[in-house]
Amino acid sequence: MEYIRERLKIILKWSGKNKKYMYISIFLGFIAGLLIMVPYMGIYNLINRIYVDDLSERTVLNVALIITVSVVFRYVFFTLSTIYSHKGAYNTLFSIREKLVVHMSKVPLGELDSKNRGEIKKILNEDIEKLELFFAHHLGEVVMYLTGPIAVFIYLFSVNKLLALLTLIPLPIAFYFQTRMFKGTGEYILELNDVGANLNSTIIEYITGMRIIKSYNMTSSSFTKYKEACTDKSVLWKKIAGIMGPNFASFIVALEMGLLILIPVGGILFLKDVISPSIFILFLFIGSLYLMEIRPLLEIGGHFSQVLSSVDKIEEILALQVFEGGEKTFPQATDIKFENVSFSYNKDEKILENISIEIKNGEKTAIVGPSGGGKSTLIGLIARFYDVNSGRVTIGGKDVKSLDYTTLLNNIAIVFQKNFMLKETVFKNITMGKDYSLEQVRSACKKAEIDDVIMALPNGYDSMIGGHEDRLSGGEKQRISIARAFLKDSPILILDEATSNTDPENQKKINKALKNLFVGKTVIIVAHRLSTIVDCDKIIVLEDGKISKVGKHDELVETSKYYSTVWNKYKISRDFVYKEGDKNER
Amino acid sequence: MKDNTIKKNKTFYKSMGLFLLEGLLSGINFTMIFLIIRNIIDENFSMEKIVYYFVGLAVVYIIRNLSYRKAYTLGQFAGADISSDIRLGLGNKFKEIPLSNFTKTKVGRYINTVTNDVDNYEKILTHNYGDILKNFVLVLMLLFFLFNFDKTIGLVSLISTLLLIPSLYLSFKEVKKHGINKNLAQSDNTDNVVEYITGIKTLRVYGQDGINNQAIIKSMKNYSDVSYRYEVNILPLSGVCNIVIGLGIPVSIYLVGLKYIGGLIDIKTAIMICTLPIFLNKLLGTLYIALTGYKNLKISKANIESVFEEGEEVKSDLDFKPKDYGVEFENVTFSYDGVEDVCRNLSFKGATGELTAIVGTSGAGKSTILNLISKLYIPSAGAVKIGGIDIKNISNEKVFDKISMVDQNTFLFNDTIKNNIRIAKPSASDSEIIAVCKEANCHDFIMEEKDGYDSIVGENGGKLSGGQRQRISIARALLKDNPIVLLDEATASLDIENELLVKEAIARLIDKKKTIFMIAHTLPIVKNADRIIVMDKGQVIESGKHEELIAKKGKYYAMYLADKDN
Repeated sequence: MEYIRERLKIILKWSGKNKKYMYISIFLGFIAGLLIMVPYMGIYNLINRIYVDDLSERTVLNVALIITVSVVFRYVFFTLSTIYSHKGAYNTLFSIREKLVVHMSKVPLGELDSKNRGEIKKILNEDIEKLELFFAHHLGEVVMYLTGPIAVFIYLFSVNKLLALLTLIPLPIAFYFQTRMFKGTGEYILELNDVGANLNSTIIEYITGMRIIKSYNMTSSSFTKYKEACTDKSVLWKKIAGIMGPNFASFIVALEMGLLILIPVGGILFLKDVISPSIFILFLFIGSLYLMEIRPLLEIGGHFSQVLSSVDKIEEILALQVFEGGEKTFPQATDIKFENVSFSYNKDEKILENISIEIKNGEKTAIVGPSGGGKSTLIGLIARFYDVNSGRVTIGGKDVKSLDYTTLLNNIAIVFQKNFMLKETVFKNITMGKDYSLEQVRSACKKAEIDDVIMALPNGYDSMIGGHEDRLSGGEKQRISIARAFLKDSPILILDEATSNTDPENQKKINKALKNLFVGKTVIIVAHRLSTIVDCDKIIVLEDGKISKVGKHDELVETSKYYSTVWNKYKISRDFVYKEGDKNER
Repeated sequence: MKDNTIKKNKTFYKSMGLFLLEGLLSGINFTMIFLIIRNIIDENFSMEKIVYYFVGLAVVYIIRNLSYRKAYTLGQFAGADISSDIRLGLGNKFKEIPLSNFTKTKVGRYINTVTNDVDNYEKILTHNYGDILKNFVLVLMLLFFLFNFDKTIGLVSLISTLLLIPSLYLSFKEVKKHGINKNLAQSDNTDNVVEYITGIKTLRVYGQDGINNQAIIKSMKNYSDVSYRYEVNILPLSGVCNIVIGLGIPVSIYLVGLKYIGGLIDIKTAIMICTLPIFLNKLLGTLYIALTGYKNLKISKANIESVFEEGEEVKSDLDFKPKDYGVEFENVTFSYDGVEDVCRNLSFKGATGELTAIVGTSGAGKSTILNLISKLYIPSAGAVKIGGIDIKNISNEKVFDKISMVDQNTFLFNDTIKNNIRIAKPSASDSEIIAVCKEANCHDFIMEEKDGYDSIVGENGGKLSGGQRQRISIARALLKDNPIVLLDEATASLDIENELLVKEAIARLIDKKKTIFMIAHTLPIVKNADRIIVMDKGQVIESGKHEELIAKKGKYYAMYLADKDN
């Protein structure tokens, strides 16, 4: 209960200024619920009159008109209630999405990376969408489905207290069976989650792996596994249904069993002249059936648990610490210093340990080392994709943490391994939302060796790229990324070297573009290949989270065991030729 | 094949029968009330009658409870079987769908159909069908009752009931009309969110994330507005429908009152009839909701059926015993989308037992050649021949049986490393597997894993690096030992240590004297190839041995020079 109340508080907080729509919706739903009672009252009135033989045409017309009005208003109010609830719901959904997007832009990227990207997409799209159920349906409908029966009960209570109370007897019985149903299936439901997840991943593997399945003629064995997963789920579900069936049936029948109590008790009261015949008839009719109105609540209960788990997932992101404040002037000199920096994603595993480096203003530095050695993490600490656990990273003597986050990012250009293209025109892909003239963009593209490729596209700089319009090769996208960095013209440049299969001519252009880009900047390269780094001012060898050696190429070949091995391998690999007999063997 | 898998089974009909029974029995409530009203009016209601009704009703409730629980359980059983059957049917179907259909978008749709559509179909089948049936029976009983009492009232009620049909029709139509906009806005927004999250690093570096990215904010706002407008368009209609159907209550009551006053019906009938329209109305409301759900079932069903209706691979019993494993392209033209030809009039030969290297700029059509040799795709004109036999008429399995593929996207099953290699030859002994792994430079990294060859590779081999996966793919090819090998030499995308290991493994595979087609991204490595094919824009522009091509001073020469500079 405490858990639910807390979540509800959070949800309502999110709805912010849209709360007023919710309140209007609840109020209208409440009125619509009250109006459910009117036809019952009208009919009771009619029966009463018929019974005492006091029915005039006027009464009939009045009753019919009142019921007409109540039906019309009931649905008008109900419709308005749902329209308002949807207005509030969709506005709120938008503001939660916006809040999430804005929040994410202020948290360390590393935090988002540690969550699976797919998970974040799911939260932004599907999980938030699930809240629509709550805002647009649950709030108003719960009120309406409860108001109706409560109003009828109050009306019945005003007619006869004892019988009215007796109509409630089915409730505890029904809820007893409902609780038994949930208790009995509890552990299996957990198992069902696992079995369901297994079925899903088996299906995904079966379909995405169809090519390999076919080419190795393993259709029958793969199918066996697939079949097992299908059968597992169906067997387990049958087990659950076997437990649910009796309880669910008892629940449904119990809600409708009012008549079983009202016939004897009402009958005796009627026979003893305690109640009038019309009261007896009223209770037989209405008292036996009005509880069925709350049946939809059961389904709402089922969906509500999904809403709650969505709330938890959204909260998890909103709970991430954000960057705030800091100095807005960026230091003139861009010497980068790591002072005894340690970092780990979680406590068990140290990624970087006690790193101290100095990268001088205008220097070109490369970081090499085995994969998983912490190279990407190291550069991530400069741009604050992550924050150090201990020690500090400074630029021009200032701790990066003391700088305003936006200012920091404005002064660092990063070219990533994977080149991300917006589903936009080439022009917008290069300006990235900033105001640049076509001349400026073209001049950047010329330096990035990509202008001629763009001009050859059907609409030149206005051609759409990204998304499904995949017109550019990996090497061309790489050069677009370089053009972006040219325009940004920041004093610090970080390059996470791309490792794509580009053809030799493309590669040559990339190399030339990069050489142009490096001019006059403090450059840090995460090197995956050795050819580009031979002439770096400084090469840092990073192994197992520690710096094993720092030096120029010529020195490292002599002093670093790792570097010399890799360099030798590089030379063998560079000269490797297929079909050379024994010459390739080391 | 079509449709015979989406069928309801016997258990399902049994369950529906029991739901029907329960529905009929629940109608006894009305009968009971009517009997009591008659007793009251006739002044012969008594203690005995109370006992009699009570016992009778208790028995009915017990039977209802029993039949409902049986109906529910059987319904769920049937649903579980039906969805399992559909899934198995789809699983069988996937084996027959040509591999060329397994594009990225289609694979997503297939997965969605097997998981979500089948679930939806089952849920509605087991949930809504019973409700629809029960309520429908009750409605019929009520109408029958009403007609029995009074034709006019019966007719009014029948009209309210029949109004359900145009209401449903109109609401389906409106949902369809406005739903398109909503779906568009939704998928648009989903795409934008996916793009945003994918590119979040780049966007942030360029100050384009969060509030500064108006595109994503606008897209989300638009989705929210369109969704709201959709509801505003739909809701009033359903409100109006509910009112029109609901007006059956006052109209009936008015008529009953007048008729009673006019002496056309007696007191018992009057009392009875004026209460029934409310219940009829409630039943119609439930039916309306249940039938709306039924519409979703049809959507899911249509999705399932569309998979069953997909074209299948052409079966062929022709023997495939080529005299050798030379591959020949004869005037091959091919297009992935039927619009833009990826290659046109392509002709070349790769002799049996020789290494043919394919080089060229990206997008020149290099991987298309491998796809055509393995019959993943079929040329729109011309012929691909293996050992002189046009493979168009040979079944895919038989072609696959001669070919091994080594590519960048090695697919791995969430199983042990050993089993992932053994798929190439199920009868292989452990020592055979270890032997090929040593040749493919896999053995060392496998032994470093905690459980060695029995280590689980994770979902789609997530625990292995790109270079390790390529080597596993080579191990498979070595184990399968097929005469033709198709290879994408993607070593340039690897770090230097992996690069050399993969190159060595490939070199050993090449030494097995197979017919090899290799896409090469760097040139010197294939200078000893028996033949080098240089491609540009879907055409072979040069071909020959390295020395000949260098002497030509054409495209190959230019690429070679560029490579030397890098």
